[in-house]
Amino acid sequence: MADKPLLSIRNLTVRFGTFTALKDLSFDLYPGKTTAVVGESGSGKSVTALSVMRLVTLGTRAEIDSGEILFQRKDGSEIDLIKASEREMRDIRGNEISMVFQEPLTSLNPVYTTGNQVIEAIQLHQGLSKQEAYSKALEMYEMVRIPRAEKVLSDYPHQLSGGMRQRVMIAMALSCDPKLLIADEPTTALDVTIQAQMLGLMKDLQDQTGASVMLITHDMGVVAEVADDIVVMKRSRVVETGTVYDIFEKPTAKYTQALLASIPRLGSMTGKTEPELFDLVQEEDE
Amino acid sequence: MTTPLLEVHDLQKVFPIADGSKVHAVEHVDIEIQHSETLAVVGESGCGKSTLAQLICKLLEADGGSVKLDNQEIRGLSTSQMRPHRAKMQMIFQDPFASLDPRRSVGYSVSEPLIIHGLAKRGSELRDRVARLFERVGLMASHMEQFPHQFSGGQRQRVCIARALALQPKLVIADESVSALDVSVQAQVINLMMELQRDMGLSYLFITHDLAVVERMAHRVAVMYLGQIVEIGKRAQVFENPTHSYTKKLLSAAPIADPRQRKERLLLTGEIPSPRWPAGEGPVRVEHVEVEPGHFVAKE
Repeated sequence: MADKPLLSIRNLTVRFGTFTALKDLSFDLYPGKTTAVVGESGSGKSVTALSVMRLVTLGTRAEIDSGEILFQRKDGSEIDLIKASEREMRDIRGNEISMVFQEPLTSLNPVYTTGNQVIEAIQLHQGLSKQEAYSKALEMYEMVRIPRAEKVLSDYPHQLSGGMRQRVMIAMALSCDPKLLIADEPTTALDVTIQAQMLGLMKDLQDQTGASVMLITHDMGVVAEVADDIVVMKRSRVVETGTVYDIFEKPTAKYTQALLASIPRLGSMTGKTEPELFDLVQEEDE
Repeated sequence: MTTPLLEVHDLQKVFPIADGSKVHAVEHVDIEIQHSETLAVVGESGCGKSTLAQLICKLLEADGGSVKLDNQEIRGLSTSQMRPHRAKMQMIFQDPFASLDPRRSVGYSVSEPLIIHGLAKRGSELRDRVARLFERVGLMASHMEQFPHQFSGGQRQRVCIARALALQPKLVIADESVSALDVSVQAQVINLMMELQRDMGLSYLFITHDLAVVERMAHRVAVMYLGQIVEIGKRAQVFENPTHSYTKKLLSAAPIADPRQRKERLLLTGEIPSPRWPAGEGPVRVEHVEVEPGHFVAKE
């Protein structure tokens, strides 16, 4: 690829006590691209995301043993997020790299209105007055297509549906125009029709803002739908990386083949009358 | 045609809310399940699919309608009257960790239904039966002594399946039973469920939101929307010829695990309306039209 990676993770190893959560992890994220990090529970997907945000060592026993995470900042400089000071990280989190989580209700503070929380983020990072921040928040709500945006700004999280809450989270995450959005299972808790709306929305917003997206998910249907590149993880390691077409059509790792064989694909049963067993690939244990 | 194993007719459940309004969770639902058949009920959160499952297995009592299991009306039966029929119908839930007693060995959890129904004496006979059940679901007899926390999610769900099979039921109601599992484990558990159906002649009422799983394992599919069935038919009829507008939108929204099939979607705009109605009001009862043999669609 011609572009310089926006984020380059090199030989990252993270330990929780004696358990190695990430082992010699390396991959790159490119500007404007969506990279899906896929793998099963416990494979290290979320630890990867938290390491990029450098939240992984906050209040835990986790230690970053080795490696670097090189990030191209908004001002054009390059920074190693592992070595960055806590002050620099505070400036980067939410501003240059922001994050959307699976469960919006636990990510939003229940005792403040949603608007309050979005305005706080905008004021903190952009130094706007309260009034300017309010206008910006309203603009963001409209951008993520929240109906009656003004009303929702003064609603509390519990008054909103799951889909609306996730829109609020996306509005907040994008409010500071980040270069990288990390979305950790952003649609897993949503119904399929709402998920489709949300994926469409994230794609549109990405086209508008040019942000890169690191999409963490276990749902290969979602991956096939939106990803440009894929990183397959298993047991703390990267198993395989490639474009979405490489991985779905020419998977080389045995694990990726086994994973793909176990996915029910809508439409694969067309023309068949009886249910059919999955033709599972036996995966060799290393 | 033989008598269906399960016949549900005009089933209804309304939950009152403190302010006097009511949630019409299940509205005039009619379904049938034949022997050795899987009927999948699909729909989104709040459509009433789990309430339907709970009404059928009497975890909730319906407000109206009839539920016949093996030609016997079970709605309105008391707990003790229900006991002889219980064994014919068992459930598997979404979260196997929450459905197993953390302080009991999994072997005990699987043997408990046999003890309660007096089907096996304690001792070696009981142990042998439980051991066979463990082997039947792909676990080992040596797993019996272990506790739920010592297993993976997939193994725990196998334990729950073993427990459901202990009484040799005819109908297993599976409410999102594979939704919490990783895909490779999910595929193994689905394969196990299909093999058990083939070997034991089980019928499944399979409640899920996952259309791709349904396409794989169901014989017939019912689509629920706001407490009512809007479309029901053979799997191929519903998937290859979806007729109700909601079924079309639901199928169109489901992501397909093939990057060459990215498509413009038929998006539902906004959100699904609430099944909550003010006192005295309620949803309009849908009328079904048979668009092809066995394929019924609600009039729009």
